[in-house]
Amino acid sequence: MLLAAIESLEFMTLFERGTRATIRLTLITTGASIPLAVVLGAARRTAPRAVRLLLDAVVELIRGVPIIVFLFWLFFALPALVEGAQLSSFTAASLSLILYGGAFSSEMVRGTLEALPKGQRDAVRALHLSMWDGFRRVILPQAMPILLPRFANHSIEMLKASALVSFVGYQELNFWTTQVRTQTRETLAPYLIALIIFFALAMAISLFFRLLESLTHTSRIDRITKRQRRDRRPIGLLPRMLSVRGGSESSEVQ
Amino acid sequence: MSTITLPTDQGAHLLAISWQWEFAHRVLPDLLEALWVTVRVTIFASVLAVTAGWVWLALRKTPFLPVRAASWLMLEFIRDTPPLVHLFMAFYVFPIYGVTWSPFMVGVVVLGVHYSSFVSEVYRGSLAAIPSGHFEAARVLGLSKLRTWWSVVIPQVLRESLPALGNVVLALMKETALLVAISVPVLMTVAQRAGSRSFRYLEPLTVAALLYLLFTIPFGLFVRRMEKRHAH
Repeated sequence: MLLAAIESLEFMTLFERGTRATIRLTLITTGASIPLAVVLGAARRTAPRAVRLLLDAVVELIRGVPIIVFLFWLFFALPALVEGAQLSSFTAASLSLILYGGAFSSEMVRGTLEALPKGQRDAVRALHLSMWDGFRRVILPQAMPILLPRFANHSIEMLKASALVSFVGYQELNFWTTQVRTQTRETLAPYLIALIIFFALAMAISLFFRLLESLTHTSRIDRITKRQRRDRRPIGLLPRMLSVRGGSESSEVQ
Repeated sequence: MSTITLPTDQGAHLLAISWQWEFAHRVLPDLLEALWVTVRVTIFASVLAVTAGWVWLALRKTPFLPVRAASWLMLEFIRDTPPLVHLFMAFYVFPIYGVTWSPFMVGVVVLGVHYSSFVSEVYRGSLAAIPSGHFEAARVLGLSKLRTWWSVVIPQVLRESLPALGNVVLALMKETALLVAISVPVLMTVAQRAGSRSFRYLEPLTVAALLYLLFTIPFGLFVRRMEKRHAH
């Protein structure tokens, strides 16, 4: 296996090309889908009823379908429906990941916004802040500490989903790995290398978000309140058994 | 992986909307059969994931540090890398080591293992939510360690995890579409085949998408109801 790995060193340029394409696609799709998720999530709470229902329906439709079906549909089926809508493989790849990711995570953004205390919104109105100011300076800073780790997961899911787009001909890491496999007839080594690259990229993403978290002011406040809460926890068997159990945070799966 | 020949815009200029009911009818029986395969893959892989999740949890809770560290790394690795690559790897590497499974089997195992990493995280969260008083109470009552897990911990973890597990099954059902890569005849595969055979993707893909929705939307509503009831 080691020998095979060394042999496939010759093919490192192919891996490099694939990694570049994967990084590019992931940067574009995360960069666009996170703002989309925030806007959609906020709109699905505050927009007029008709718009809200429409958005809910669209999001449910997109979320209910596997991402690969969505990708194929955009690339292969859409041209039959709309004249001249033949997308390039890059456009189809990035568009499907952005729309799917945005729709998917808008649900999470909405849930987070809903979990904020109602008084905050009342305060925004009482202070006569404009809707945008209120969102930007009151609501979002409070939602951010909760949202950031979830966006990290979202970005990793985008990275994982980027492997799918080789189906419509976009040449990313998975595509070039397959090329290496067919050229070397080696199987284990190419896929292991690809997996390690994917894992390293995922680690980089989660490190980046960790860094972002530590940079935001709110995370410090959050840490302090958490510490206070911990200190106030009832001590001893009986009080603890009687105390209300805090809501457990279930991990989200995409 | 199959490269797909693109339909050029032959005839596309004739009709802006070119839905053919007749063709949709023709592909429907095959798709319905594929739906059954999809459901079977989902069930088997879910059972595997829900079971293997316990194994992961046990590994992550052993007192022996190297095992704990190794299982943590394995879980992160499985969770953070694309299941499509796992699928290819299993499909091409297993036979070399004498494991000749059917593509169906490979698909079930790969998806099951991938999602077991999420399930173990769900279990871990639920385990953390059990007040430590329960463990202390079990000890005071003189329950053995095994008995404590079996009658106190596991029932609570399962009940607490139920809505999240529902989400995992939902995600798994959609992920079965990946098996197009190793041509297991799930919905996606059959739709893609019908499309490439006739150069008409619109009807098979749309019908397949609707069949997915037929399952995912009611199930999603059910899971959400469960979540709401659990929150109280």
